[in-house]
Amino acid sequence: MAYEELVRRYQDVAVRTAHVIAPAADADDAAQEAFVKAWIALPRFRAGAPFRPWLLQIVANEARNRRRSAGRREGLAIRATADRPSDDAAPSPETAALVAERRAHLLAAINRLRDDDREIIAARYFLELSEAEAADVLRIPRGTVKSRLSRALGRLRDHLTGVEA
Amino acid sequence: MSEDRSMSTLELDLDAALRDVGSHLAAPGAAGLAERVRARIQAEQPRRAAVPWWRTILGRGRGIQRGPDRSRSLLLAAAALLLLAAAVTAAIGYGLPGIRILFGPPPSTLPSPTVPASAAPGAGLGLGAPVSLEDAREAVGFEILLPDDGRIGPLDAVYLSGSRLALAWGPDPRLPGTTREGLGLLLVEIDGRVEPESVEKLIRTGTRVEPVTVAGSAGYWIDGEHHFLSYIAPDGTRIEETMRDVGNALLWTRDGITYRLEGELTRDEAIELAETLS
Repeated sequence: MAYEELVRRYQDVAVRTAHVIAPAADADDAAQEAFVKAWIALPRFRAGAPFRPWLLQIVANEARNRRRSAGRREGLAIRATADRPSDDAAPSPETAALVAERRAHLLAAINRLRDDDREIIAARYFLELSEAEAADVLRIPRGTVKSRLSRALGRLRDHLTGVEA
Repeated sequence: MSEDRSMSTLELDLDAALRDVGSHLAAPGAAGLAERVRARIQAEQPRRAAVPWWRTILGRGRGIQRGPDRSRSLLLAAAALLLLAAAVTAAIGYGLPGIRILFGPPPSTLPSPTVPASAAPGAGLGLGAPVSLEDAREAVGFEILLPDDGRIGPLDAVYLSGSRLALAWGPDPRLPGTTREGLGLLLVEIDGRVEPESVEKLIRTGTRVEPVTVAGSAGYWIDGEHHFLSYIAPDGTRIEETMRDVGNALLWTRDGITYRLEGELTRDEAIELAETLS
């Protein structure tokens, strides 16, 4: 089944995108629903247009719908240290603890940001979407991605240094 | 290593720190997703078989003209083949598509439990007589504006009633849709101005009305229940109409033409979309 290949190719980024937009909701379920809807909508897909941003728009829409119904606000989290990448070249326990603490501190600040600030940072740094993809997925004009990201980073810096915007 | 130093490192190298956080985020896995999607699609197939003919023609026709990318064209060709196989297998009662390729009747002859193949988006809402966009252009005395947004596909239906034009799009998974099945987005363009009194009446009846600005023009964001609005045409006639309750509405007037965008968009999404009209 040709479509299954597409699902396999994009499933990870789809689930991560859903999770970034609605951490409290079931990202896997949102991604699954999005793939089914994308399949149904394939006749509307413009040949020549890139598939990934089109799919991620659908994923983001599904995740947003779930965020509306999930209600509660839940932040992104750092994964358990057990699967830390091996290139960490065996740091001393003290260094490892500091690095982990700094990471947690930064993520906590990100989680305190407003949804749109958190989403633009997540889209560019965590999902590593291009500016055009980020604009499509977050439904903002392409020309404003840079300025929104820079404003979001400014507010993140404020949080980190204890200044409330 | 002091706390101060770790903070200044963050300040100096927020970029790297953010990428580092990104590579350490707990993310749900996608294990088994492809299998579940396949199962869902197989379950959807009897319903799926009825891609409305207008959707297939409009969507694919436009795609073919723009298809410079060979690999994606191949991908689409594979998808189209899959759709055909799905339609045929659904019609004759087999489960799995993609194994055999049969030639059967076109999808338009297959029944649909939800939207009849002949029902264009917006049909049955009393929007007026269905016309082509070209005929509508000749009939109305103003320039018809369309949204320029990658998420909005080709226009699916146009209705004309007096000096009121209604443009309808079918459901699109990238848009929140409307409260009406088979209708994704509705844009009404009227040669006339909103009668301010009718807006006041709306507010008095408890509808939430918020003044907004759409690309420099004054407008209203209308949230909630059934609404009744009246317009004053250039010749002074009064046009009264009940809105069809397909979702929230953004109402604005530009160069003497009133536009109303209806659907389940949020206020900001609606304004952003409205500002792409050209």
